[in-house]
Amino acid sequence: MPAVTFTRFLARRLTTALIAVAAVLVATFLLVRLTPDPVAVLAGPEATPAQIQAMRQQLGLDRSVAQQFLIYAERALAGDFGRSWISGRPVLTEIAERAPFTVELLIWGIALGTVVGVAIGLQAAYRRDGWFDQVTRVLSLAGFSIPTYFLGLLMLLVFFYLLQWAPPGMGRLSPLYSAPPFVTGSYVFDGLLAGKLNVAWSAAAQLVLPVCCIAIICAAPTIKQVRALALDALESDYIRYGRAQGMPAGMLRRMVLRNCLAPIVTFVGLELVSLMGTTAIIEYVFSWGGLGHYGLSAIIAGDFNAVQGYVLTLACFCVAIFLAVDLIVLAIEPRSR
Amino acid sequence: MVAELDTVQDRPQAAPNLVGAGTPRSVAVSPLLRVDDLRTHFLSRDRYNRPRVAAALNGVSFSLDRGEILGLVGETGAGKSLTAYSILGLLKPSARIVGGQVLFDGQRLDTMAPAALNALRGRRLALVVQNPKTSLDPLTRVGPQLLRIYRHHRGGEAARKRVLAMLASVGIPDPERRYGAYPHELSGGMAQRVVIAAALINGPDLLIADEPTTGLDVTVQAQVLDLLAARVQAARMAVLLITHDLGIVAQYCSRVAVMYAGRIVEIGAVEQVLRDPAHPYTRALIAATPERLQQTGAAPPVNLPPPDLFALPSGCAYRDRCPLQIERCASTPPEIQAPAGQTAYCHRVMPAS
Ligand SMILES: Nc1ncnc2c1ncn2[C@@H]1O[C@H](COP(=O)(O)OP(=O)(O)OP(=O)(O)O)[C@@H](O)[C@H]1O
Ligand code: SF4
Ligand SMILES: [Mg+2]
Repeated sequence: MPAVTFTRFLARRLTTALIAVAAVLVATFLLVRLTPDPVAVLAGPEATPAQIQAMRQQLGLDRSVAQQFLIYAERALAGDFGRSWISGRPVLTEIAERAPFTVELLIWGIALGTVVGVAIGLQAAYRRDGWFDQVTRVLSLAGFSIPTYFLGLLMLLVFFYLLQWAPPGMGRLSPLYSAPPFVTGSYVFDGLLAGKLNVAWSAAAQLVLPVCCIAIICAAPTIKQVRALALDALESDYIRYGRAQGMPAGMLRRMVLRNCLAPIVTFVGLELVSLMGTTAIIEYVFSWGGLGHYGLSAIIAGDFNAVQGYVLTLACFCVAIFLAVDLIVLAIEPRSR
Repeated sequence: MVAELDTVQDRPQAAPNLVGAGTPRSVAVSPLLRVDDLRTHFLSRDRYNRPRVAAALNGVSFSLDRGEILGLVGETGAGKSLTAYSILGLLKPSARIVGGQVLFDGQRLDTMAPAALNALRGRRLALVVQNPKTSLDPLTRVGPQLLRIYRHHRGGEAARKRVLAMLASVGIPDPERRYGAYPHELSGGMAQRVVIAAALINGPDLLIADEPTTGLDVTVQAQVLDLLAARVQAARMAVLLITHDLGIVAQYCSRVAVMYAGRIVEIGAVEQVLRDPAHPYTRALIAATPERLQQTGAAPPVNLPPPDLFALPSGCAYRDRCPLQIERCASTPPEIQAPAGQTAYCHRVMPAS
């Protein structure tokens, strides 16, 4: 692709991204401001009207809505989401601390789920209506319809309580160990880097169940999607033409996969976005303490600043993912150029 | 160019052309391709899960020899492409060969193990597809696509040079540049020429060309067909040429088969069939060509709906549309040798005495 077209493409996508972020900025602001006044709750039942008034002033809630928004937008764009109303620490710091935990969970979960989902989806398409196809179709439907929290609890029940293969879902590290020095934020890698194999091992063991939960949730729709894509490809003119040329079966399978790749990447991007919300529940069940856990707690506690920071961070993640998907599709799909 | 290309390949000893065009093939040498009572059905299920059968091919029989071009004509939906796919074992899962046989060089293709058939396809059996733009692999550049056909069947050396020569021989200007083009960057005519090059690259014994010149302008069309004819002459290739264009049939084919509703209704030497058509459908087909319409000043015929393959009438499938239809037509039409020499399947054709 010529450099000019590429620049224009990138400029267009970045503009869309900016608009999306701006919209989320407005939405988060309104969402929080339109909920009932939280000050009374925050201040506690014993607070006097004067104390409440002082608190409102301190939080900036006495200004006009427009003013509040401008202040909010200006700060948010500078990365300042204010302080958590509960812990009193800067929201950005708290998010930055927790983001790596969630990212670690998501990356492993999505990677595992995608690989398994694509492999099963392809096989199911190749053996259309065979027993493998039938069984995986039911499994995919089950994984698709099971509620997330229930899946998490079920996994704990089976693999921790009954089988005792997995550690309890109590955070990212067994309480026997202390966290390794911070490098990447992933205890597994940081443990390895610090040369503490038992720490890394414990962290990896803690990861297994929540990662499997995410992988299941991710794989279920992927199987269905990939199966449909592969069936289309298998019925396509170019595969028939490939057979007409006597191309070996292996090459035809590669052709099927390659031709499905761009839509799969797009689909996984969408999955990733929708899994951001789901992860929060998984984190809650496994006391993960990541971003999702943080966001969920903030919503429950009515911690406005933290909620806004959380939602905006998610929005930026999503925008970045969509951009990445576009770039990857551009790279692997000549027709998009 | 043709001569140069042919030096590259190790062609099997061509059988002597014992049978002249149009003569009944009663000679001892068996033809390169013989299709015998071929029946292909589409099997599906309706809303109530009851099986449904579309009888798309209903007993297609013909033979084709080395050094011969057989034209296959008939209106859209007659089953021309399906005949090609059935012969080559390229049916999609819903279609199934339910009867008859296909003999290529003495071997049954319809019962052959998939791997063995796959080894023949692309090397001894070649196909020019009807829809090149959707048939070329969208993610692979054109040159490498041809390259892998050649390499897979013949291996190694000088492959790139041969691909470029092939592209040039089908009239692709600036082959070096097209070599690196993706299919979606090609015009319809250009893609058409690419699949012709792909079909010819391994010097096949049998070429099935499904409307190979649609989308080509007249000059290129002539160039491509001349190339095919030259190869038929020089390399003793056999060609099944599927087309709508009776002009092409008249100019390039030695024999022609006319298809209607999955059956061949008339087959014979081109001079016989086109000059003295015996079957009512062939006559209608010839009367509806643009040239003939201009000559006679007749209004172009309204496009009648193709017969419903799920419920074909008994006997002659052309019955509903035939002006000569009589009661007897509800029974299977007999095979008649018409006075001009061709074979027709119709109750009303007078046999040669
Ligand atoms: N899945 C299917 N189920 C039922 N009938 C089908 C199915 N697919 C194709 N057919 C029928 O098979 C018949 C043969 O089609 P074919 O493509 O061979 O026609 P054709 O003679 O090549 O026509 P054209 O000149 O348009 O290329 C058509 O009448 C079509 O309606
Ligand atoms: S058999 Fe009867 S209906 Fe069929 S073409 Fe001949 S005359 Fe017409
Ligand atoms: Mg066709």
